[in-house]
Amino acid sequence: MKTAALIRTALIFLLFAQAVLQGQDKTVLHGKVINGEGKALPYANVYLINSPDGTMSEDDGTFLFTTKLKGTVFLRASMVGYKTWTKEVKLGVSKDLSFEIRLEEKSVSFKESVVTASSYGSEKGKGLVVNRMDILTTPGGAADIFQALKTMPGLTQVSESAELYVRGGDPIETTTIINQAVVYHPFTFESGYGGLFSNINTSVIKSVYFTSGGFSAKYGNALSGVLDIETRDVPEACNYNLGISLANASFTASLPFVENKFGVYFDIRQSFTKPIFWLNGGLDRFTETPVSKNAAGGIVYSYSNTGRIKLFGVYADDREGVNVERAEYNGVYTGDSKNILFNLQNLVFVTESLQMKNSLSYNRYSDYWKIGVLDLTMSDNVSNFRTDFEYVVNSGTKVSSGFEYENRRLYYNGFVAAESYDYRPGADEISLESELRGQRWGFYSEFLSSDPFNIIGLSLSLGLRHDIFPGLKLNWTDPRFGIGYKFDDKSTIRIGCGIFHQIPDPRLFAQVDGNPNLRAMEASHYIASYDYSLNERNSFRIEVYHKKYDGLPLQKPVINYDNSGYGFANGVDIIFKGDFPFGISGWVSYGYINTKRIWNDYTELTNSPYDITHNLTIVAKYNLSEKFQIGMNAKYATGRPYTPVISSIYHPELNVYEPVDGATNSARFPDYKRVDVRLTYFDQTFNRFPLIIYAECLNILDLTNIFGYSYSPDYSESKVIKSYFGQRMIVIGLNLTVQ
Amino acid sequence: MKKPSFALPTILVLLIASSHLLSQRVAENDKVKEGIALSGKAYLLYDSGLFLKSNEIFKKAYSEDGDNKLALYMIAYSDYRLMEAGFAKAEESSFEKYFEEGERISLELSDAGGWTSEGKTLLAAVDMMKIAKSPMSAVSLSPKITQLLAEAQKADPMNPRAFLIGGIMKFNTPAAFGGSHKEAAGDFRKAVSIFEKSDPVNNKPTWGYLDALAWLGRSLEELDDFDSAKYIYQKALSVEPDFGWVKYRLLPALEKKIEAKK
Repeated sequence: MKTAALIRTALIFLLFAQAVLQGQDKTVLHGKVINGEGKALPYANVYLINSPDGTMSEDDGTFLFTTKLKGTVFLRASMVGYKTWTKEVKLGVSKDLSFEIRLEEKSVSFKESVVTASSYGSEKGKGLVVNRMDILTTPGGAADIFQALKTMPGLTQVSESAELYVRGGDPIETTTIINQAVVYHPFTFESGYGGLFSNINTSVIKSVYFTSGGFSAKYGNALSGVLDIETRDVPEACNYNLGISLANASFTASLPFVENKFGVYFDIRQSFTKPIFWLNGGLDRFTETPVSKNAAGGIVYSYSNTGRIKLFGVYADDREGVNVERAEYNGVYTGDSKNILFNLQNLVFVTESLQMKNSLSYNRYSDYWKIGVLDLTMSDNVSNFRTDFEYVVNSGTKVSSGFEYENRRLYYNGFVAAESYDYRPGADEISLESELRGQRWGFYSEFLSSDPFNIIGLSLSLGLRHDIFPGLKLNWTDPRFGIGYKFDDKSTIRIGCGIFHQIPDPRLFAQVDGNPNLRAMEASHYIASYDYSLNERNSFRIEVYHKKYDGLPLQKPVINYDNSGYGFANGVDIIFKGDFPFGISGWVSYGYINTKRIWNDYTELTNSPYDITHNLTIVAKYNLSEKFQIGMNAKYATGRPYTPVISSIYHPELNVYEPVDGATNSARFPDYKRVDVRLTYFDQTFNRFPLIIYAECLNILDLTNIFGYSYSPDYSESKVIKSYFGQRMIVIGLNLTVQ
Repeated sequence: MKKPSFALPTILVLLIASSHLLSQRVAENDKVKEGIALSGKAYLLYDSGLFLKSNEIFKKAYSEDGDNKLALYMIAYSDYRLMEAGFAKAEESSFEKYFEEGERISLELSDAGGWTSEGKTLLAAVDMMKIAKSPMSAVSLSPKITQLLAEAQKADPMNPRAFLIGGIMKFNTPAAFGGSHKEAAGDFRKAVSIFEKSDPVNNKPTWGYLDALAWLGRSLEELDDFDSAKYIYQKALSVEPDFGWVKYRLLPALEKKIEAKK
């Protein structure tokens, strides 16, 4: 018994001694990882260089690990977004080493928090997301950014053109920017009724940011909205895409010559609409079916870790000949346009905290319109230079500033009808040769803060913008303000307000029939929104807004125009984007607006032509199988206001009737209704090359939508002119990618 | 006369029968453990032949005990690995066979009590292999995979494999379609942290720690944090020195990159 007890005691002693001895071989390293503000940093890597000894910090920032190494080693802590921390350590002297590791942020990692209400973007964190897949697969959108954006709330269905009518505003009140440069003509088939599609294809685009109000001081000379597009960086992979349909053929290529450093991409396409009109009817409407050529491309070179240069260019050319029935004359409208854009952009990190972006661009647009006595050429040349600075003070504070210079020359040459009701060949005409030149300087500063005053979840933006038009002796200073509060990961409220100025249509400054002393138009925005993100795929937004217009140009006797026009727009926009029952995904957007204005030739405050009271869009997609997807785009919009013709006056000397208009915008076209359906097949040819084949039926229910009315010569009878997609149309096409 | 007592013989019979059943169950569990060890070795060596053998072991164990959910799970798991190891080389019919079986079993497990999270995660992994084979199927399968992983995490917030598969999806999805190396790294970090803090649960899957380390290293490489990536690869090799993917591919390639950067 005693022997057994002795043996047991010896064994216990031996085990304990072994444990102590083993423990003496190891050093324990422990501590806490914090950021510059003293807050714990979880998931930071803490390790000994060139060894597997290390760990990750816990949720409270603490870490602990052991090592058997001896001598001088380097302890390192690292985390994405932070500067690496390294310290020389002598092991073997003490068994227990404690560290407080403070990681400093790399200055470019500003904690982005979208303060601006009313925004949509293609990148996470830049407003509600509309990504490339949304644009490519939205039925009826023709893979066009502008047409896809029109399915979002805040954009009213005034017409089927690609132009953006934002919350009761004219399309000229929304500015399009490509790589920091303002582009005034981003459309093809631009006519008096707007351009039909954009001439910037999604294949050349890196990101899209759109705001329908309350936007940052970064943007000026726009009353209603901004579409900010950035083109691609260095292509990541080599691939080629061939597309063909009843309406166009395209070829796209991405060529990375040096990985992540130098590459080229381009997109060329030719549209030819004869097959689509032959198949669906409507060929008789044209003397020349619309055709367009479009080429866009870029060269990107990252010359260092901190600098990159991009050269981007677009060439677009289109023409069409349309049979037009007017009251006094049946003729042919011929239109053609050319658009060339060059842009050189440089991005450089001057320091780790200071980013500078420069852009130099030149855009030359020209078009020619001919119908009867109208025979007019217009050219619009714009040169732009812009610099933007972004200085990240810390993760919660960023200051942005910049300036831009724009030089624009508008030139009109030709003949216009003396009377708007008489376009017949041989009718009285006015010779027009007019050149309008102007320069604009813009300056801005903006302060952005996340969690100011240590209020977690709060974000703030304060901006000031100053624009100068030296030639017009105009200048203004606009304050902009935004505040947001994030209740949790799911809910955010935002409030935005600001003053926005824009010069009226440059033609209104003409010496003879305009007023060179016109002032700028002004809009005040007041917006409040609530966003709820159920998860990564499902989000909801509701937004209310009030827009007040002042200084709108109004026709007056003697001086032609003054700035006594005014107006307002009030409304609410709602969108739900995500997953619906039965495996359907997509979005539902609804907008209500009440907008009135008095401007141009109006005689009283009345419905704006953009007063589309109800706008409803439903985009739904369903995967029938792994390879087949069916999609639907259903639109409903209140008919747009128009000025009816109530009688006519006969002019015997001219043998023509002059229409007598009723009250401005006192009538409405029938409500707009349209359903597009698309069936897409996804596959891989030879098990390697992605292939998409699609069949689309635009206006599948063949609902008549009105473009306008044509009249009998005495205006006693009217006839409906159907809209662009006013009849059922079938389109089929395919895309093949070779990589 | 006293009536004969049947209590003792009954108890004896019950005891003998239950010990027989118990020994059978132990034997089946030993088979599953054997299969798991073999599939672990197959993963280190990336050997489809060993995965096939382990697949057969799991099928045999399951055929003898239809209640052995772990055996059933491991059949689907080995299907996933067979697709991963050989999809570039495998004939279309083999890939489809593994995919259909893996999908069917994962679906069944998703509805089985106590296996919802693992079943949905494995189903997401199987569907992900379909995308790897046929990228165009991402249109229909990506939303499904995102939904499955969200449900898996809801069912078990501490399932590291749900974070692992989610991270792999984000790593391999192009940025233009919502992918992100930064977010992927976050998912892999979470997976690694859970693996390191949790104890294995009896009769539940344990795979994924080495995967999480390797993928975390890849993400850190993409984010240009080469030193951290190297540490992670070395850590993986300290856990398993024969981890072929890291030992012969990832770490040597990274060291070349580091050398080139100097």
